[in-house]
Amino acid sequence: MIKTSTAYTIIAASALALFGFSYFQSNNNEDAADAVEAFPSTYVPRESRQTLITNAHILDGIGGEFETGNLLIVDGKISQVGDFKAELTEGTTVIDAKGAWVTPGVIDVHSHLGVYATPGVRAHSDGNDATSPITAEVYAEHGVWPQDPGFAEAIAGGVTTLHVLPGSANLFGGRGITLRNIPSRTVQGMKFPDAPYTLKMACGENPKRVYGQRGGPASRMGNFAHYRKNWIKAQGYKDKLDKGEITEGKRDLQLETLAGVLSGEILVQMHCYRADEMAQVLDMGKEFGYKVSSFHHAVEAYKIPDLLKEADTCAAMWSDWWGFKMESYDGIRENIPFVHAGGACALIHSDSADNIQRLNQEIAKAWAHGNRAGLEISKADAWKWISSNPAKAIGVSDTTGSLEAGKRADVVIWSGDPFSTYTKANKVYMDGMLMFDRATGLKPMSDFKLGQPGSGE
Amino acid sequence: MKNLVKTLALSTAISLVASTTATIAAAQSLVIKSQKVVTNTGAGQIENGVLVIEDGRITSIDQNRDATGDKVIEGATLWVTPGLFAPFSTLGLSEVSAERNSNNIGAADKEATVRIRAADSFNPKSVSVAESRIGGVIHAAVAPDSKHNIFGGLGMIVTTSGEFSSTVDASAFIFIDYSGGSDITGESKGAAMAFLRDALADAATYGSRYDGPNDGDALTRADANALRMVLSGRWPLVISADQAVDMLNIIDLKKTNPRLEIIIVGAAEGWMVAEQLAKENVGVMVDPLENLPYSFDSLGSRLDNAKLLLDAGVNTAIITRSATGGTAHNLRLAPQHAGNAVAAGLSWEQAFKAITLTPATMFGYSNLGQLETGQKANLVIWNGDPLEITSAVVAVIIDGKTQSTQSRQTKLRDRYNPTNEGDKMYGYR
Repeated sequence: MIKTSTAYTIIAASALALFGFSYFQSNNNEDAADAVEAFPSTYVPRESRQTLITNAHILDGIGGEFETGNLLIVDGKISQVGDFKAELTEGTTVIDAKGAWVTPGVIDVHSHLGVYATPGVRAHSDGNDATSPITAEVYAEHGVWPQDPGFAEAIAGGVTTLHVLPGSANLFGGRGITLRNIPSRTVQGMKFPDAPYTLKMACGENPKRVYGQRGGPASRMGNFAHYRKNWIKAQGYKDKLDKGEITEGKRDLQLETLAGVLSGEILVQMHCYRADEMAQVLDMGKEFGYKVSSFHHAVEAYKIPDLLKEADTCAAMWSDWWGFKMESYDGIRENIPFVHAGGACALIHSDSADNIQRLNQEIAKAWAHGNRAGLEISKADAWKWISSNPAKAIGVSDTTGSLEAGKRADVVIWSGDPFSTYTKANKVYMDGMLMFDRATGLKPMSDFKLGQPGSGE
Repeated sequence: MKNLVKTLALSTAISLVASTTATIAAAQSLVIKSQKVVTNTGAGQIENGVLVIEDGRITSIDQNRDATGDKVIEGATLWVTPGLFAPFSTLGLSEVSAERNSNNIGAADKEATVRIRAADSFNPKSVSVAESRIGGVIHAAVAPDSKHNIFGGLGMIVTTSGEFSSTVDASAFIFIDYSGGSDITGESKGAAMAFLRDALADAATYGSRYDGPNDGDALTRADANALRMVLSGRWPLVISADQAVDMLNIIDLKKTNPRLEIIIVGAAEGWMVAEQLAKENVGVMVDPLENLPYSFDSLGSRLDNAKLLLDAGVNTAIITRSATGGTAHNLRLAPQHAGNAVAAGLSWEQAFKAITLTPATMFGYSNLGQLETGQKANLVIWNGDPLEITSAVVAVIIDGKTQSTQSRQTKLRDRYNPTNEGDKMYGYR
């Protein structure tokens, strides 16, 4: 697809400024506007109706709470939130949400939907290109199967945006992709417009287990040596790129991704459990001049909230997974609230086709455990763990992750307090479109599920 | 502001109770004045219930707010219930799942199959045991998993007291991994079923068949001997299967072995054969969070599986297998899974029984799932509705004894708690 409009280049700045694009720019300024964007997003929100939700208990996703508030959606965007009198235009859908809670759509920064789709057969194992510990050149989007039945169930759990990552077999696992959770025949139709790419990296046990008998790394020492060797290569590549020396036909996809990290265009999402390892990774970031956007799993993040805060690095965590491997042995149920209390960016992630369906319950557990340990975290603050903080971690907080005027109208109406086991998402809006409605049975179904047992339910 | 007030109220209530639990251990009599006592008996739920324990036994359950004792625990939001009973687990057989030398879940290369006893591997000091206990799980069925063939081995019932005396029953059931085991038995369910039929026949003809240890069609003499107890119905046969047609074939085994007590664990497509399961009195253990086609055996997974099974009259327990650690490290998630079953249509009573009385009864220990006067006290005190994810355990009593609410995780929590203002150097805190 050829992009010719200059307006497009502005909109797409964060995602495209660098590779593919800036390369051509630097070498052929005359024709910069003719650069080809690889695999561009084709997601376009459908026209939505103006919707007014009234009398709702609202958590705005950035710490604000209205016990009785209104929310107005106009042209797919949040127009007004809180205590206001709406001037209704003709055709506005009004929903009286008395007794219901309203929140931003749930954002999951760590999903393998599509790359490890159900049913879990070998043919659906597309999340780890476990052929080399360095596969920065692969893109998760090329492994995403849009017919994974898990996407539809995640909508029923209020998930409007998700970030699909390669697995953790490799030190440099490849690029992650941010998706709108919308049924689509193509991945491009799901790609979150203008969201930055990310780079999945992995610490610790997995890479050394996978490659220990296959040429290494076979130890945590080896892990770091490989990271550093490749960052040095990336420095050299970036230098050439900046000087316009990478001409057509000389691109190196692997180094392109790594250099993108060094330029700040690609956000590092690093699988890392142990506190001591995270601390060393942060130092490595200083050595090579890049930032870790978020540590994933981060089972021991509660031991180093000060270091995370100083580095402005988020920790994406589970509420209570532990004990399945040695580096998860020190998991505690207060991990998320302790990181939050330490002033660092704390957030929940699923890493699971099941947990993604009830991330509200996952934060509720963590919130309750934190407060029992003596913290005083409000529900409104805890909701950041599932909305604005994940949006920040994957670089989409300018358009989603909160109920602020001008943001995408990604909205969930819950049957009650979402910090309860018994509460369900009743209505889910994406860019103002009603995508899921429990009352009417509106819910997408993948091609795979058609004609299978129970597919009518 | 509203939230702040709520939070403060909550933490105050907890600290009050925490300070009392430390001292009730030595008490001769304990009075619990609650919002609700859930008995799981004909007495149902007793609002404002008062439960008295003397010398480790429950001596009264009523509404007598004037009751006194050596120690009184009182709280407007407290619930008193039977302890949770994990229906199917590998608790205490595994410390760190991925570390082979820290777990004893299955025997990879050994001929021994049916006769492998969980009781020979169960470690009451495993940290998962304490984490389960402080999450309200006070009994668990523990089974070895299959490695060599479809037989896991001989399962046991334990308490989570962490004492060496925590075995309730060392020989409680036989476990067979039917769907998973078929990979080992020729990667074919037909082969797995043929093997199972042969094994049952070996056991049935045990007396006449074996002159030597290898005279069986499927099992060695010692394994066939171990299997005999399921033929009489004395030990239930717990067998994993998810596909509807597999369950029908398993039910069919009762035609030649009429006294088999069959419990199917998994049963993702159980709703499709609910009528047959009910008719043949086959119990199931299902995870109410499962709703995806995880494999071609479970294409029919759905959230209301448990409801449809119970509506058809199937004896249904709730497990947590879909959770990471859901068979050992995270058995404590049972209330969340049961609560979600309520959200999917079960009554609260049905869901709560499915993680207490129902599994206890499946193994012949209904008293461990009920609160009645005269019994040894086996109960949990919660700070609210136990099926609410924000509720927590306040105290645990097993076999009449108040248990520690400490664990390795609570010690890590206390060491790193940001509200901890000690000035000791790291490592000495």
